[in-house]
Amino acid sequence: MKVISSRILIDTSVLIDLLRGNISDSIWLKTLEGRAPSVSPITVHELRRGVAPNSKWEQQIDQLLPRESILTAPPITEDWIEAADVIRIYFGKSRSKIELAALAHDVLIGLTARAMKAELWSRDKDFKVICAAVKISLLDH
Amino acid sequence: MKNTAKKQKLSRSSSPSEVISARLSKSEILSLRKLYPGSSNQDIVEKLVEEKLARRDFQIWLSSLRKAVDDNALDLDQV
Repeated sequence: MKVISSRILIDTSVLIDLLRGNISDSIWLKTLEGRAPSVSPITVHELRRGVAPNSKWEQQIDQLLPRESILTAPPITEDWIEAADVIRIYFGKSRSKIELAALAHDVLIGLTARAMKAELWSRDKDFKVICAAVKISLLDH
Repeated sequence: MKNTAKKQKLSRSSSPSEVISARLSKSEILSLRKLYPGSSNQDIVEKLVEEKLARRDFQIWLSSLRKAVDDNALDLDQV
């Protein structure tokens, strides 16, 4: 039987907190123990939005991330429908149109974790609702 | 110290079971057996290597992100 690695999908909110020094090395290392870290293409996209134009990092920021560390579960029509339903049912009346659009990213990250059987680590409080809705467990420390 | 002593016993010709017993405690081995029933020692070694490489490569990428932040080339408020 082929062993499937224990993957953890790390949300953008965790990376931002880590880069800001809001996550200690001990918590980081302990959480990654026995797990292969990965990110969603959405996180790659979100990080890239923050790169200064014409800086050397425009090239380097994506190239240094091993492609094996990017968990890609293609959002198919059913995923977009499920994402819409989660947003409509749990967030619809409480958020602005712009926030609702951003939430689609978060739900798709949750659906990627579910499809790839990866654990999800996020510090964004919306993920508590999203993970409950799509029936996956969440690490939120 | 104990791990270092065990590590020195390993060589290129070490078998998967030798690698596992040198690198993991008995409770860790039991946990892996429970997690992946039916896995061979070779499978478990491959898993350990895969995870270790993934963590190492990810750390390298994170270091580059830190440098980009320090260079003011990555604005976390825009992420």
